Amino acid sequence: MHKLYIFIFLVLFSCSNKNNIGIVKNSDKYSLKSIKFINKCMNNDFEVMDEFLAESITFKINSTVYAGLKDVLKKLNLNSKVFSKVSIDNLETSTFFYKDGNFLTTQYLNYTYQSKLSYSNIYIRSVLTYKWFNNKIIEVNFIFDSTSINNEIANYQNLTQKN
Amino acid sequence: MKTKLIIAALSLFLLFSCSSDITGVVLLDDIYTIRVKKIMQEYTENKYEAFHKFFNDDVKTYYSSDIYYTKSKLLEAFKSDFYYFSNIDFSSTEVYTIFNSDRSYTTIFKPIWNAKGNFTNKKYKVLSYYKFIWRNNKIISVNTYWDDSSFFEEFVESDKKF
Repeated sequence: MHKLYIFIFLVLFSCSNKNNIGIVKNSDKYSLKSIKFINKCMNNDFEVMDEFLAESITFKINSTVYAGLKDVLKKLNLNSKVFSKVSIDNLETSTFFYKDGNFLTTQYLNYTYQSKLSYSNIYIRSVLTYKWFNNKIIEVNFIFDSTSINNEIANYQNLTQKN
Repeated sequence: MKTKLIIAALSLFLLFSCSSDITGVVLLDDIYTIRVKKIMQEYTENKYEAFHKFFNDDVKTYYSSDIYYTKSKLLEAFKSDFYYFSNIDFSSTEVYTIFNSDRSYTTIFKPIWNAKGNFTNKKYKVLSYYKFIWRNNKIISVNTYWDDSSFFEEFVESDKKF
């Protein structure tokens, strides 16, 4: 009960305190749309990506930047040729509404890919952040250890070049 | 007791009049944010006083798999960074603590990790993300995210030295 008081106090405190930068929600329209988006990506379903992603999107995968919807779809399609999704074991989504009016969705996602080439399973722990404009994602930051994925993609590209 | 109930009722009324679907509030400069800043600042100096003070002995640190690092392994990993790299620091750092309605509290540390490779002289700028989960004033779990393949060149060069 004591901790509940503290939480309530903090929320109230948030209305006026200058150190408070915002609030978090996980059932708002942006969080729900992000869940829909990531499920489509995980299922290699890129049919209606323009419902989620802005034409001018900046998609950062670690340090690599893909600019524009066309480039992003090319990258996603390449991944779908090499991997099939096996399972998601943890998905945590929430949207931060900042006091200055900005908002940002964060997604923690652990999942297993199966390589269509080697049939090995690759476990990924990742964090994604989405910036929004007009109900579409305009920036994605996707951080994860890409070592295993890069090896599989390199093997795939070597194989397709040989053929 | 009566006063506490009145305060609680009033607080709940005000809370839900603000918004009923709020799951947390985000604060800057609370003690947890300050502690994480201290831990990470000391790490850039290869010092670990705050690390020992605020990390629970049973802390679990996760990186790319579901296998976790123990406290001693994490310390080893922090220290080994200074074998491969120098001038380690953070830039463009965002750090804040989320106080959740389920009573948990989590500090997020989002920096660009900068360093110079000791074997390649290469300058590294790596996007990183750390999620520190607290309980009873101690960090009980850390989820870390960055791309290890960014350091591949450095590791290869260091292997050549042997």
